[in-house]
Amino acid sequence: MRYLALTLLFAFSASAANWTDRKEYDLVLNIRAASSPQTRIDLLDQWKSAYPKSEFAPVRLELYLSAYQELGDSPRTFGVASELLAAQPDSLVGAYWFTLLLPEEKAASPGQLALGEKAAGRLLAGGGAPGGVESIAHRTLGWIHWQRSEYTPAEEEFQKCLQLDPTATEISAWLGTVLGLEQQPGKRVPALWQLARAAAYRDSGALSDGMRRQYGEVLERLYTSYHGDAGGLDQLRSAAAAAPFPPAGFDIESAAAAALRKQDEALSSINPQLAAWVRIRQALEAADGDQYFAGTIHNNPLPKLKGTLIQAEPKGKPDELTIGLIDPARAEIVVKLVTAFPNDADPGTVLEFEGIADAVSRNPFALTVLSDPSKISGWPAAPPPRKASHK
Amino acid sequence: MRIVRSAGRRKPAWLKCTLLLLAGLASALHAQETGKRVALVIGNDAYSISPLKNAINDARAMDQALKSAGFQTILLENARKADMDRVIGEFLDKLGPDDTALFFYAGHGVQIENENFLVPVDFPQVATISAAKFACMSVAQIFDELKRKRAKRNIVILDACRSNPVATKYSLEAGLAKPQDAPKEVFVAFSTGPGQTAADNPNGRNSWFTEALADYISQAGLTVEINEMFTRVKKRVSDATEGRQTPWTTSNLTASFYFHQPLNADAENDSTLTQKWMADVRVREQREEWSEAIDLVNQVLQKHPGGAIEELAGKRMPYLTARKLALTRFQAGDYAAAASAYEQALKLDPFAADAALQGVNSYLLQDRLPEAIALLKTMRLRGTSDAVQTAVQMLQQLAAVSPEAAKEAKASPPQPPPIEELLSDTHFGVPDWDAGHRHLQTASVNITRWTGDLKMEVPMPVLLAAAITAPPPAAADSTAQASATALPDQSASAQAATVSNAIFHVEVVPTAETRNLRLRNDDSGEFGYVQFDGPGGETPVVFEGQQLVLPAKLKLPAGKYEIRTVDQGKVVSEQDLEVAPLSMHTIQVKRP
Repeated sequence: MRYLALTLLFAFSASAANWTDRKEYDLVLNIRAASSPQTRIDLLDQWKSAYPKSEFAPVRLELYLSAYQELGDSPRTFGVASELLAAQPDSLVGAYWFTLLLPEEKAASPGQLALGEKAAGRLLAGGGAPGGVESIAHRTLGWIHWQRSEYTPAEEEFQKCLQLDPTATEISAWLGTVLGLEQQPGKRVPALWQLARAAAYRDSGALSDGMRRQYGEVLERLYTSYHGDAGGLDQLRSAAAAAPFPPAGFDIESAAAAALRKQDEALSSINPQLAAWVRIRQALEAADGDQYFAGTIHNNPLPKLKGTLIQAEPKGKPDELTIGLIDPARAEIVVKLVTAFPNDADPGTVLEFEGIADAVSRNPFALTVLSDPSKISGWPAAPPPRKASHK
Repeated sequence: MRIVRSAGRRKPAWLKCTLLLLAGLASALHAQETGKRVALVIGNDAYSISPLKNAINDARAMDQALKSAGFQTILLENARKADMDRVIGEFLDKLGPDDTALFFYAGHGVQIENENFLVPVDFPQVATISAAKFACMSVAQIFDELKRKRAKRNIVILDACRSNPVATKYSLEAGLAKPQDAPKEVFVAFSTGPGQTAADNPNGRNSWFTEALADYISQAGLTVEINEMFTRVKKRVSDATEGRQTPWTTSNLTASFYFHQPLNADAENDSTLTQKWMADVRVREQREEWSEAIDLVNQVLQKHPGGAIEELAGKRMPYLTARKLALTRFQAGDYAAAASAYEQALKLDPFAADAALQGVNSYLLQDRLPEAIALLKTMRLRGTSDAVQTAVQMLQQLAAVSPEAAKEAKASPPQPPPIEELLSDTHFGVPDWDAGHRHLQTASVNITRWTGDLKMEVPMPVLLAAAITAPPPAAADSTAQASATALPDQSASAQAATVSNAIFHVEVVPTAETRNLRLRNDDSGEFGYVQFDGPGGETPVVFEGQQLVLPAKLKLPAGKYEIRTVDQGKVVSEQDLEVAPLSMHTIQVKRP
């Protein structure tokens, strides 16, 4: 209804306009009869040149827009849409074409992005728009966020687009690119999926052969750099061609993850204590390390670990031991003893110990563990007490 | 249009005038494409100086694309001057007067004294510009030969605007010159503007220009006219090069040319096709080719494009049918039926002044003056200034026999109708949603500047890498030697994992039983020896972090082991080995 109202409003204003003279009417009659858009543009130029102040100037802009659009001249169509919005901020025609073509601008200014946001918002606000308009608005809003490096809202807009039109594989390519640009571990696989869809989807709505080939090359490069080789790429292409989003739990093992897994296996077989510690430390230093510490480690016993004593304080009756596990010279665990040892141990002494995780700091990394001498092996025995001398 | 008049009727003076006006409406017939399509495709990479990377790929891509568009092709790669001379002759011999000739060249080109030359791969080191000219293939000469052959149309495409050694050597202007003295019916395209140089697209397989062109030509569904196709090529290249390169074209073709004919409706799926058909309908109308116009509208309606296009086609069909009927009846001398059909056509398109004029003619041939005058009034209201003038002239002539015509001739011209009536098919204020949808289907946004920067490598976690390479918490046995090693510490043994899985290597892995035994009794002191022989040099033997190169002798704690050979990350062979105290084993390592 909103569109109808705007149309009627416009129709009223056009009706109120008058011909300057019959020659102006002749020009428009010629435009009406012109078969090619280029001819229409030439005639529109004549009209504009002969009657720059015509009362039909807004009509003329719409005719220009239509002719440039038919000619496939997107930059000029976009230019006319901008003019239309400048002349008539409420112009639905201007808002529509500005929204649709803004992503084709190679270097849109902040002003154009803001105007595009407004125009797309207007399209979304208009109920009863034909199918596809909503998707176009989300497409452009996503693109605007992308240009501003606001990747999360860009993702959201593109996802709305794909939910409205799952065959919009251009949007899959854009979403994949934005996900990839974020450089976040959890977004690499969804990015590969979307790029694979853009490259592999061939039914209605598919990209041209050239574009598919282009995205296929990007996909191959990224996939092999992520996965280590092209193994499984064909399966990814087939799966992505069949669905706009990956199924829940879908994952592709990265080359680093595979290496990590193999190395963890190797380390576990030859030094399970060190392997266990590496896993704990990795989890503590991960993005959700605090959550891991609070939920899994804190106030819970650690497995038996083996490390090298770096420092024991205070001298004589030490109750705080600084231990390196991965690197014997670098502190990782501070063991706080409930009861102090009765004697010192030399730095470099290898200790096996158990304890309860108490606190963690990240920079520098240190896990504080509560323990007791009875839980620590490898500590040198206290020298026998000296006998009193007899005079 | 042919005017048929009934025999034996008197021709009044006003009718002469009318018939003269009508005679001006005769139209030309549209020439249909016949004949064959022949293409010569040359790609030169292998220059001794400044070799190119993509020209042969370009030629091959074009060869494939042109074949898909029905061209017989001659493909020549790394052409010497003699090869070019020979093959151009071969190409010209294939051309007949109805044929379409296409010449495509990718390689170095140069302009010398405002004339373009294509550089063969055997371009010699010559001393003068004149000698350089003789060593190259003249584009003007190719034009001359094409002129002589008089093919129906010629298409010359030169992807030869790269910066090149010939231009540098003789300090010539870069790029190609505007073609001089081109034959009639020729379409010329350069990969960039005259005098400019184009990129070879060093990171791609094809030049930007040919990649786009071959892609579009390959699309059987892309039934756009050659000019429109090159408009798209220009945009794509300009986008891809961020405006640094825009292909250039010039044409004196007098008829449309399509790499893929739009009238082959069965093969079409391009969404802009119906739009183009409707534009063709307008052309047919102007030529009064009503049957052809109706066929085109039928094609549009059969495709059900929906939206404004289908609506326009649906509206136009009754008008075209009325015009066809009117013409048929008029030619048959049935002026009453013709007049009625013209009236019907005018109801459907009130601005069709030519229909009004021919309706006037039909009425006048029946001596039905009032009806003729009514149509002349319509012409005065809705016609152009010229039509108004014609109507007034006719009314003035009719004034002698009709007072009403005299009165109308003297009356002031009426105000023309409002613009909404004039452009009733245009929905002002409402976007053409379908056009937008079609645009999205065919246009694509180039995002290579972002995809080029994308990286997906996941860095190796530093922690594990450190753990793997960490020195042992206890000092390792310092007696480890190149030929024999003592039992290493557990942490040091983690270095085993640093051997890349991609490298062929041998792993010595204690069984779980042996490992547990060792953990319980670390200082048993019972050892055996294993000698590994095989491909020398860089094959590592890995045992618990120690890494030796074949041939190697390992001192192993007594126990059971698996000897694994690993290649490309996969275990390709396994062997069980029991090492007894003071035993000696020899293992022969073989590459798979």
